Amino acid sequence: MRLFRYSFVLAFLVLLMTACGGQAATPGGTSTEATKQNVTVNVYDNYFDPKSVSATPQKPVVVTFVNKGSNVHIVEILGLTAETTLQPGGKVVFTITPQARSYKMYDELYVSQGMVGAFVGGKDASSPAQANATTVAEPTVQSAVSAYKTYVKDQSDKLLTNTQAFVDAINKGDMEKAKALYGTAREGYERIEPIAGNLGDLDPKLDAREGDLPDSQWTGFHRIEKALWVDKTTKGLDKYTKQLIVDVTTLDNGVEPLTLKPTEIIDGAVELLNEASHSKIKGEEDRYSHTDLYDLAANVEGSQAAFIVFQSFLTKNNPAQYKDIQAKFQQIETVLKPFRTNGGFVDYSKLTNDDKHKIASTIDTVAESLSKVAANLPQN
Amino acid sequence: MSKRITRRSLLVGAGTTGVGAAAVVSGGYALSHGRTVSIEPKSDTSTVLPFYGNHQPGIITSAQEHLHFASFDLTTNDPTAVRGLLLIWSNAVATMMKGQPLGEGTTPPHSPPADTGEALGHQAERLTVTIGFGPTLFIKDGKDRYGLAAHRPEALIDIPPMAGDALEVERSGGDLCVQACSDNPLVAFHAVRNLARLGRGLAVMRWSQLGFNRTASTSKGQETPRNLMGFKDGTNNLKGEDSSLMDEHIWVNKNDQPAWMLGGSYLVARRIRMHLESWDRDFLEDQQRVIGRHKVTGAPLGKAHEFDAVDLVAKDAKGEPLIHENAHIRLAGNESGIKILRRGYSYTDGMDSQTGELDAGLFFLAYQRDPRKQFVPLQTRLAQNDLLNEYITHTSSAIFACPGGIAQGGFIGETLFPRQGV
Repeated sequence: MRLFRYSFVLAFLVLLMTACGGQAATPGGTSTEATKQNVTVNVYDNYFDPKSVSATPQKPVVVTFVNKGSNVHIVEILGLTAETTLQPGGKVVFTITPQARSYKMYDELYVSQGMVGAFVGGKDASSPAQANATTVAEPTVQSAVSAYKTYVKDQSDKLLTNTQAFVDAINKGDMEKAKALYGTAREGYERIEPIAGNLGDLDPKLDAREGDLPDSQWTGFHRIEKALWVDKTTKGLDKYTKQLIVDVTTLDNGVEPLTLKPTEIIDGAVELLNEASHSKIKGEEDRYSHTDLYDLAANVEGSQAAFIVFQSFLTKNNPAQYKDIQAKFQQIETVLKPFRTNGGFVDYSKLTNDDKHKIASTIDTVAESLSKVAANLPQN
Repeated sequence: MSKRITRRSLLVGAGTTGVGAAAVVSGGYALSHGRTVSIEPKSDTSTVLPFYGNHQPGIITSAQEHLHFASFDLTTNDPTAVRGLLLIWSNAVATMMKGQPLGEGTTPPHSPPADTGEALGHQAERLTVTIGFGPTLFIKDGKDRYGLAAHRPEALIDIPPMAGDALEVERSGGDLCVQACSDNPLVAFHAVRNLARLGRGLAVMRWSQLGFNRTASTSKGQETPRNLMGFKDGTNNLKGEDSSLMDEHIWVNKNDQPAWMLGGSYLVARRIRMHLESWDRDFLEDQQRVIGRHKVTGAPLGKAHEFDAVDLVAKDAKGEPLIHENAHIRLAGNESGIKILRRGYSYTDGMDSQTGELDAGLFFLAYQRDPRKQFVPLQTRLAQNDLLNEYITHTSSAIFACPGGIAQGGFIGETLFPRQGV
């Protein structure tokens, strides 16, 4: 329910002495000049830096690949080196002798996403090296943060509007309408839940399940859900509906002054997917109404929205990563599609364990890739 | 090829294959406050088993105490992605079997750590990981997803239904399997967890089984363990040291087809639930009649010592066979003429919520050269006649083709996934 963050830094003191065919490589060297005959290629998620390197033909050159990403990479210079698996932080050194031609340098796993470069025996005719994605806080990142804040505000406004309509239906005693509006009322909340989790005790007030709090303190959506579906009444809910509007209004007013870091936005996006694949998938959240798919889809939408604000930043700095994750988000939509009804979702009890397994593993796949985005973002 | 740090060690490693590198690396934790916890050197490599060789480890390896087994379904339709997964897994297995964490160097604060970390501080603990291919890798729901259908070994059959089977589909089958064994359950768990994580996006876990207390010895030095029925199990199991028996019964050889399975073996996995509450109500003499051995000593009925030869023709005073004609030992033992290498573990998944009985038994694992000539006839006979059937139920079934071993720089399955034109 809450944004759960811990910091766990695993650091290793690394002293490297590299020996290769009698020559010493230069760890960390970034030169691509032909004269030095020492080349380091940094392997990021998912591109090479530099993308193209050159060396004097017919002379030995020491090439060092360093995996600076969070993915495992399988790198190769076709015809010159063996395909080599590099774990994060891993490093491999080859001594090779190129001919006067261009060789394909590529990553076996991500070649289809464009992770291809060139190793050229002779002058490098290609474009200059790609800039390191993490060095400067680019304007596109600033605009990503403000775009996300706009999204959050938009969702909290929607939450207020839809919750008001839901409460109005209850006040009119219109059970059918209240039930129909319950799923959509919550969507705005589920899309920005990690933000709400940071605002005082709003999350327990709005979203606690039965038993999370002493009964006398239990309020929020699920308290009302139980009244509608289990007690089958719209009566006597005044206390809860009033409090609900107060709390949702507090949330709506509270999101604007928040300051957010780019990495926090991505953290929240991962958190939303974790929430979807671990909690929502159990069907425990909307245990009386079985509207869990509304929440689950809203979690995914909120996560994708938080990711998409980085589109221009990532398209510039790491287009392969952006494309990959967008395609994986698309997969979630594909697996959810059969359960969509006109403007909503089927009753959650209709899903088989197989269905749930498929949805959860598809979401986990996105979450795993998404968890690797923050490392490439400016840290402030 | 690349250098690693042991989980808590100072290690000097040397690379190979002419492109290698030597490295001196030391490990340490830096907590987020900048406090560094030094990690004491570990020089003990006595629990490291070799990953590279003619055969995969974890088959004739002297059986470790604990098991974590997992079956995976592939979610990609791209054969090069499957090949990539096997490369990544093989590389990770090589690292973990050395007792080292995945990844190297410093984890940036906003990256998830490459290694999940729970096994830091532990040795290799004789970890082995064995990888296998299920029938559905080759053809699934009538579809040849990877163009491999023609390469499916004939011996990689769909195991036919057996009398008394109560198989749960969601615990059976799978495209790939990973068998992780170690003397430390945490180390085995760590291996499966990290392989599952590395496979995210390409493969999802279909089912998984934890096993404790090996129920077979696969090596001459090992004492015969007891299974959950309280009987010594696997007294006459094949032993890895008998290389001519291994060649005859366990390893796929050059006369067998297909060639890509050379040096490999076929694994059959069956989750066998024991109805322990019923068993415990059976009186001693009947328990011994069912098994064909004395409970305490493990000796065959009519004999005094565990390893005494089983006499299947001996008669009692009334002229009845001393060992019942449907006793487990008669139908399952080597005397039946069929030999397999059993490598099973006891399991418990807690309680059966419907009955309140223990959900426990044997997770049977057996390696063989050809299941059509070994497991299937053996189990067919057992399923029909074994006195033990009153007390057991098979609840899952899977078969995998585990390819041969590899040299450094290779990957498990390289013979099935040769490199394509790039």
